[in-house]
Amino acid sequence: MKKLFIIILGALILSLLCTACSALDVVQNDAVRAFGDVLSAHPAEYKNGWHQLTSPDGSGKLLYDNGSIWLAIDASPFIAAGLEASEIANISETVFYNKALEYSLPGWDMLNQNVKDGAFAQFEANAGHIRKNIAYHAAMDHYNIDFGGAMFEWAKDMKTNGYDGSDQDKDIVFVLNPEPLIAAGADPENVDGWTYAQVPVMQDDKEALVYKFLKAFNLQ
Amino acid sequence: MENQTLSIRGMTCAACAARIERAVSKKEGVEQISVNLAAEKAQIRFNPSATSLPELIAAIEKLGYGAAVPREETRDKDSERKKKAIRVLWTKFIVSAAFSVPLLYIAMAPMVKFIALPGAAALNGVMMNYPLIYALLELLLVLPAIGVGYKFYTVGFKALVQRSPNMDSLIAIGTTAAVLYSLYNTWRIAQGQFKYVDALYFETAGVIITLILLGKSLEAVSKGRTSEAIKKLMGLAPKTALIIQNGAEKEIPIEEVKIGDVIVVRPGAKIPVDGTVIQGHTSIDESMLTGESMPVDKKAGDPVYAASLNTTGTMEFRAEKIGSDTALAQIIKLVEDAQGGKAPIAAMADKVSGVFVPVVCAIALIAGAAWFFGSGGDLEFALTIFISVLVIACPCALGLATPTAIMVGTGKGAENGILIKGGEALETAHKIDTIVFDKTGTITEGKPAVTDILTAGGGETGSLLQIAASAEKGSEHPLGQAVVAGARDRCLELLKADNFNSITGRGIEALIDGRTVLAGNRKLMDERGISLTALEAESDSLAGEGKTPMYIAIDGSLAGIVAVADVVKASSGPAIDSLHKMGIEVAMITGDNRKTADAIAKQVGIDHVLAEVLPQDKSNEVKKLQAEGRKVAMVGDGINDAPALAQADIGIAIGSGTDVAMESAGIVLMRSQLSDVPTAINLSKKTIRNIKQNLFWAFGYNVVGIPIAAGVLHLFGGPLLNPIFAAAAMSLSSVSVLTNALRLKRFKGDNSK
Repeated sequence: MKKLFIIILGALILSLLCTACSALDVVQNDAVRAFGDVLSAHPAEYKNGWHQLTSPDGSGKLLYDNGSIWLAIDASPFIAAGLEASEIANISETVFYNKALEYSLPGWDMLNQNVKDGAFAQFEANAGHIRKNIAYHAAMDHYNIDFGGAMFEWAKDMKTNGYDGSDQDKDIVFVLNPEPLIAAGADPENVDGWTYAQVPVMQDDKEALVYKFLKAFNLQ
Repeated sequence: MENQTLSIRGMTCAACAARIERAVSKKEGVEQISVNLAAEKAQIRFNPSATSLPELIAAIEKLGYGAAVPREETRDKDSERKKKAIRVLWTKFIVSAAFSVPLLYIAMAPMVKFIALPGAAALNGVMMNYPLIYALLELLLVLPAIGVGYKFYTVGFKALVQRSPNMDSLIAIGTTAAVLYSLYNTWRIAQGQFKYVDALYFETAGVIITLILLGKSLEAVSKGRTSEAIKKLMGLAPKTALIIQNGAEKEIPIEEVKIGDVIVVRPGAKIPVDGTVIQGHTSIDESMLTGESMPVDKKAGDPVYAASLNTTGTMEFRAEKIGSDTALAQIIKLVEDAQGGKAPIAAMADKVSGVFVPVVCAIALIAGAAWFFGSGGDLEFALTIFISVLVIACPCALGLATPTAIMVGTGKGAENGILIKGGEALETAHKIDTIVFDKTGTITEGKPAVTDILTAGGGETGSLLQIAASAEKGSEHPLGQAVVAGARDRCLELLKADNFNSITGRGIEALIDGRTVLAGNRKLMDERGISLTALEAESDSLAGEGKTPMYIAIDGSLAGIVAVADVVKASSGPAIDSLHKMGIEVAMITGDNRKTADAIAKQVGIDHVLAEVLPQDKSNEVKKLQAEGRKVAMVGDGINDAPALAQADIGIAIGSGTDVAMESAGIVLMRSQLSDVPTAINLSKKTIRNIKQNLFWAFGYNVVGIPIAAGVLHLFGGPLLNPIFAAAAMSLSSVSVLTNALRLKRFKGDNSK
């Protein structure tokens, strides 16, 4: 029994050590690589102290520096669909500022973080800080950053970014949780430029279909 | 021609036995070989001028098994080895299960979408976001299972190389393919192809090994029981003998006793060898040999048998049969032979496993090759087909089908006071169409009791019994004790008896209230000149009913008769009635005279009476019934029944009987109630039906699953069986088998109704 206990303990320690080993974190490593591919196809610009990856139509932006990362979505289609601007302050995880819906992750201590040259190097440096928010979305063959109320997704492979190997022209996708926006008055069927559709997610330990606002872009 | 029995070690399934039989029978000079997997023995008949024993042993060892001539002194070691093997198997199973159960949960919980399993979302998160770590964690968890199951690989691959694949080969190929394919997919995950996290089959390998180890452990437990009967028999004989040498007593080891030695046996000691009494008078308890509870009086010229117990006086006898010639040794040999013989079901298992494994391997190879060429060289697709076939055909459920049902069936039997020793007994009991009951101690109580009290000259029966019991108070004879017990049962106070005198072979004499009381047989009365005329007719009538009349005389004249007889058990009649309703013919076998036997048979409704059968001929009577094509069960309690119990298709021993009878039988009725006989047969029928259902589930999955796994449906545009579903189906077949086996827990015996 003692031997068995030692074996089990040994296996657990070994597995914990493996978990701690960042070299084995292939998702983070490949997510950074894929993000680099996106930046190569559609470069980010550096403005007001932020690296900004803007969608081709300008309706969504991913912004980051050496201490924070956030998402800014043009609110006008939602306001046109009935969203009450005054209600947005009450929407959790969402900030309304300068006609934009903003979603951010908690920042990290930037004093010890050197500013990197270039959007890719800065994202690579940031990835470790936001690792728990980076995920692989198998159904889309995408990586994503989960901001809570919204997600930013990018293709693992922009040439074949469908799980079945097809090109779905979804190199980057902005995803918003609809419930708070609907609660603030937005009519989901009438938000111009956004798709209101069901997507599979893990909810309460089982898979469920939930509605999301989606906006995808082909960068090639 | 020479017959030789060899102990075989390292066999894991029926295919191993078939493999040894095939290899040895090819040797020149070998006429016949029969390998018994459960007994781990091979019986070989060969021509010593054409081949030799060392050559035969070498041929078996070349196949990877151990072979040796069994020696009596190694039996204890053999038993120890078996116990150790069971401990090792259980430890291996526990280690394998400790890693495989979490592995299965980690692998399957994220796959189960329709119910919320605890931690499934977290595991899904790890799987999707840390797929390489997830894969490596699975690999780490499967390694201990592979480690403890290494024998499947060493034996399985060796058998494969020798072109004689067995169950181990299938397990080895299936799990190796699953592990290698998973390792390949782990490498792909490391290369960024995360979708292959869904194509890891480490848990398949772990679970297969665990389930097979469980089956092997259960099998080893039942195997271990087979040698206990022999061990008990060997333990019956004393280790030393007290011989008279040069006029002095000398204790020597039993092996040194020679024919012609004069042996002294004191009261309470066991007879060491067979012989003839030359001096002394005593009563000997031969119940261990005969099952009869009454000690037998012995005087000069009477035979005595090894292992029987000298109860009253010191006597001397001359050794006539020693070593393997004693009655006990003959019985041991009979039991050993009966246990070493192959059961018909084993032959069927040989056939199935002999064909199943190579056929599955061939199907997997052919299907894989066909799809490889048919799909234009898609190796991955072909490999998926190959693994799916092997994984779905992995014989976990097949391995569990019988032991689980037997485990539950025997457990249920134990709850009902029916000890069923192993699968063979359970398998055979349901086919029984004839049951032979031993009389004494089985149909009857085996203990004498007062049945009738007759007085001469109109005295009171209670008073007669009181006087007789008071006189017999000091007697150790079972008849005397029965009279005392009879008086106590009737709440009669025993009177003070003086001048008690036991007259060997005749009866007793005592003085009660100044009156001389004689209690004993006709010989005693004749010697004392007491006339029995007054109760002559009644005495004859009692004897005709199988009862023993004990004459009581007071002050020289006959006072009455107290009749003593072995009474029929209350449960005998209803049990025999139940057996008749089940369509089973019931016979009774006894050494008693025809009249007594018929009287008992009439009371309980026996169909067929085999009377005046000598103890050593009981097994022949069973054999005769078997020759008529009947499936015979023998129910008995004495050591003399042991050969018949072993000869019968199934031996059923009464729990109150001798240890050896119990060990020689396949089924033991712990409560000594005959109503447990129909219950045991019912349980056997239900268990066998359950085993058949289990085999249906086990084979059903294979019959349906193998063609689907081989891509037959896919060929016509239908679905393809992904290895993960193959593994799930394989696991499901095991779950179906286990669940079905557990249904047996609902079984209720006749007594619990």
